[in-house]
Amino acid sequence: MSDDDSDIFFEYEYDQEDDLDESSFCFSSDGEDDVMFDVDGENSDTPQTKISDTLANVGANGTLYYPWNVEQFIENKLLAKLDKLANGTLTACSIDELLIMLQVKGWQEDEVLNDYFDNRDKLYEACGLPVGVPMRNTLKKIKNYSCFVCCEDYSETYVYSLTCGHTYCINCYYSYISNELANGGPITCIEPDCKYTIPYRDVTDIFDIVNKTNHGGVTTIKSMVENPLLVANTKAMINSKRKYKWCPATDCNGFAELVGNVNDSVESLSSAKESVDISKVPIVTCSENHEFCFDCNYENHLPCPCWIVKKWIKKCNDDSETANWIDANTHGCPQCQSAIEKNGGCNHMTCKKCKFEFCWICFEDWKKHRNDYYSCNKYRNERQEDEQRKNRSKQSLERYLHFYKRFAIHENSMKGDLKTMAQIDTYTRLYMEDLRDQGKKNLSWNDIQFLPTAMRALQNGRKALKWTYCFAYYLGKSNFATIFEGNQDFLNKTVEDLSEVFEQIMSKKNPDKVGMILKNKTKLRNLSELVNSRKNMLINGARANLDDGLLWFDNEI
Amino acid sequence: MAALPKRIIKETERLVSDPVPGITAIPSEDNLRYFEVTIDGPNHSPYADGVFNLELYLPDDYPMCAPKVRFLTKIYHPNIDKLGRICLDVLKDNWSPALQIRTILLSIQALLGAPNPDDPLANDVADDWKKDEKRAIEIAKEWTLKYATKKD
Ligand SMILES: [Zn+2]
Ligand SMILES: [Zn+2]
Ligand SMILES: [Zn+2]
Ligand SMILES: [Zn+2]
Ligand SMILES: [Zn+2]
Ligand SMILES: [Zn+2]
Repeated sequence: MSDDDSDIFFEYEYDQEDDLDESSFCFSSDGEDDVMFDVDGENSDTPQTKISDTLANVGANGTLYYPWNVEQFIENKLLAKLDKLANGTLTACSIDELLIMLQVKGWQEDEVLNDYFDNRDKLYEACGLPVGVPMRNTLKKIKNYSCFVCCEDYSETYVYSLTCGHTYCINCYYSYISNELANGGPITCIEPDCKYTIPYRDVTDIFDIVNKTNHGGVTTIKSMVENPLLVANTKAMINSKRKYKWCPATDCNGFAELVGNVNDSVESLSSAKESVDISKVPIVTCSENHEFCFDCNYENHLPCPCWIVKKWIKKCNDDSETANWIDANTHGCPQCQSAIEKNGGCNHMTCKKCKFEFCWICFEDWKKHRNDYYSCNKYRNERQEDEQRKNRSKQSLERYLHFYKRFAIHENSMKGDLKTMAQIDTYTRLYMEDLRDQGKKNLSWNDIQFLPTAMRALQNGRKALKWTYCFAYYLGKSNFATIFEGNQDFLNKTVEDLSEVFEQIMSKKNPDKVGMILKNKTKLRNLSELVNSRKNMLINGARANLDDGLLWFDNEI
Repeated sequence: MAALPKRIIKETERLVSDPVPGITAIPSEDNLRYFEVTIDGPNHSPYADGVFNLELYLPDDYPMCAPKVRFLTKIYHPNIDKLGRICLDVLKDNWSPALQIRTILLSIQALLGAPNPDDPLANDVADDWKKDEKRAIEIAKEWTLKYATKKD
């Protein structure tokens, strides 16, 4: 594809160093992705093909979806369509024209083609593209300019205008475009009632110049996937269509696209109120492998069904003050009462002062936990008989706090684990770079591939563990509930063991972190496999027992 | 408070030195982004002889975003609701940074002269207007007399 084959008249009048690198616009043309794109819009009448289904991911419960992030989506979905038109049927149009037409037509390339061959001029007019005259967008540096919009008098500034010739300073255009981006639609000339559309690549140029001159920035928008307008279009699209959902993880720009008839699956889910069939919970992932529930847009909350999650979250919000009080009053060594600061995720604590080893969850001696029959999670209503007078509401509050505390501790531990793992990640990266710089190759990426797997096992294991406390809170009493608690204890132990290994690796006592990682390779591998299998055992057991009515949720709670 | 942008200073100066006939806009002393506005009802409209008070506020991102304008005087008009909010394209989607306070106020004055019940904000008023235009105009005149007469 050639950028200058058309009638674009683009004028640049600035020094060489300011010259914009046209070659930096990268239009990826990865032909083999084409099959995926037929799974398109709700309006597309292209039937689902077997091929596209096999390319889709299958979630924990059989949900078909694509994991995306914004950049991948732009490259593989939007720019692929551009590529198709530019190299195939519409070679007469410029890239700028094609991008605007695609956007106006909701990225339906068939519609662009139909309208183009039906009535080219009409399509161009609807898109705010010049008809009968060449596009003469101008971005140039001029002297002694007074801008009508900002009323500034510049001794020298860049000004921008479209084919219409309405000229404003580049700062105004930058603010104007930034402000209009949120609408996700095509952006027209600043002049009221002027319909000319600003092309994508002009947006890149304007942003690059302003970032360079005004904000002292050196980073330029390197490729089309970073184009602010394309990014805004994509975000607007994800927000407006039901088949897309953003990943709920903080600072993640990943999302998932549900495959198949979205309306059907979304409706079947919302109609499944109070269903105990947890095989229906649509677990998907984003491009970063974060698992989340497409229905309630919350992290993976298995073994809990969505409605239990909603109930729990509401309860936690309603009772947040009581829980805060408990939080504030239970953070000390159970033996010497001195304050304990918890950093990582592991809940095996050692008091710095008296060296007492204890469990952060139940505050009992850690040694007890080595015994397979000890249950750190069981809610004991021991004092029930002695204190018959104690009213029911106080009991139910105690019960809630028992489960809430464990839920909250694992939630915090997840953050602690993440911190530790981020440190380990940095260490290994630095180490690898070092080796590469020295030209050595005694440690390859393959050798530490088990690390990310183990980290994921820890995160997902602890996440499932956390949700078992919500699950257990609403669970009716039965023998199977006791079995569930047993599985919970098993998972709890392995998760803490795995977490502890990671924490030991990062301990200040040991300077050779990478050596420690390699030394613990087998241990990490085994423990993460154990975490995964115990997690699956727990979830599958819960699913089967709920199905058979052996486990049930107590409506009284 | 951040320094007032040159654009706002220039607009304010011109509003004072070269006022639009039938419109006044005076910046508040303690907040130069807040204007007390009056608009005379256009002749040959149900709002003739009325003087309407409005408030106009320039948000931080002005002129990239439209000014916020609201009627303070009660008015019976299909495109203005009970809270005085105005349904006008240039205050919303059709705003352009090249428009100004004076152009917006002129548009509002024009809206008083040409009510548009097909694009209503106050649905009940618009319904009345479409059902019985004569009666609606009568009410608009009554309200003008009652709420928007000049106070000396
Ligand atoms: Zn300007
Ligand atoms: Zn123009
Ligand atoms: Zn994510
Ligand atoms: Zn859910
Ligand atoms: Zn202690
Ligand atoms: Zn414990």
